Amino acid sequence: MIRFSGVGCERDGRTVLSGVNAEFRESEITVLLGRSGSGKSTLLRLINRLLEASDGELQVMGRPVADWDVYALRRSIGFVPQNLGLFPHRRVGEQLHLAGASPSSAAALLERTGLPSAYLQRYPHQLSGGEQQRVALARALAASPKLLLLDEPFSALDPITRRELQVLVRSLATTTVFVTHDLREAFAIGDRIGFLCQGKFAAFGTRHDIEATTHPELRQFLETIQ
Amino acid sequence: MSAAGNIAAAAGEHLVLVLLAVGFAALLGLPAAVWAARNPRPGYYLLQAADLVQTIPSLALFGLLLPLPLIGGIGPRLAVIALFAYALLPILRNTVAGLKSVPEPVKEAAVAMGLTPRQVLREVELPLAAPSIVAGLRIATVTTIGTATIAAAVGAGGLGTFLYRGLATLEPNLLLAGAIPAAVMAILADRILIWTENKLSQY
Repeated sequence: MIRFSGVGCERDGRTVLSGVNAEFRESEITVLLGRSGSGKSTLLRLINRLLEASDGELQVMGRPVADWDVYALRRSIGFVPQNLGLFPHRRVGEQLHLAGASPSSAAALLERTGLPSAYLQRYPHQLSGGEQQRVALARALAASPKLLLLDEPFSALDPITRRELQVLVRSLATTTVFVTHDLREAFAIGDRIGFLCQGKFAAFGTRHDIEATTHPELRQFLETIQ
Repeated sequence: MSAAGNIAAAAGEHLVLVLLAVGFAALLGLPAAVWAARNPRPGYYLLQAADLVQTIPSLALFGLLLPLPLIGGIGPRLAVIALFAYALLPILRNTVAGLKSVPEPVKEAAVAMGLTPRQVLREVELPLAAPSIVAGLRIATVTTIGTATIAAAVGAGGLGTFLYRGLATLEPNLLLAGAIPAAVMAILADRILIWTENKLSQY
């Protein structure tokens, strides 16, 4: 689905990623785990070309990202940034429509994320934090994407709502790349976990592989949940 | 003509000067501000230039433009050009500030859903910046209504005509005939545009 071959990225003259090699598989949830500044959000944004790689090759859905028409690429990928990026001046229904949902599919999208269709008429400020998350997910799913990119979407939620949304993301059955700095969340949601440290993967694999790591920083991460 | 008729005619001239100056300033200022917001480095110099114009005393600006070819010469054309130059800064500054205040994740989400830069501007940036843009238009309009009284000094007509005659003849009624309608016009413009601002920020 997504293949990184020697990918590097520089931002403002600083090397954020270098020599990244990895493959994210279809219909799996791949979690990008790491401390702040480890490059996980940057890596995520290379996939829908919100940022451009400066080195190596990145293939998305069988084609190098550079060969994609950038608008077509973005329309086939759902994205939720950390602060959701809901449009404060648009009703939920209008946001879904702008994101590519047909009027008939809007109610079904809300249902899929566990919201009543009456919410189509609401503005974001009329929703609770958890409901806003659900709308952001519904909007990311609006154009029936083959891939979802979620950048720490649940970091501001209470643990119960957070667990509900983790279950929801797993139930969507869509290939997903999920950024978090929370190891518990990574284990709860991920089929495979990539641990980023100083701009490259220091470990990549299943929960079992991660728990067997000898990488000192990842061991520190593991100690925090013991 | 009756006194009331004279005042109405002068108020009409005044309004035309203001609408032309603010209208041209908005027409040029809005796209220039969008450009300046997208290109902050050259945009900074544009705002500095507009700032500089603002520091020239208005009577001096009228005087300085007077001898210039094409834009100079006695009459309303010179007045509109000078008033336009003053109206630019508040429109530029408020539009740039409004566009910069659009939260980064909101813009990023719009780009990530595959919208073109033009669509992001139309659907997200301009609507969210609209209250600030209208605030700029309001400041430009209210100050231009005041500054336009000076246009009478270069023969452009308007309510300033009464003020200059009143000053020359020390006739308080003439001063009031110029000052009161200008003040009423400014207050009305202010109220209407504040109402518009509030409407645009309701959602």
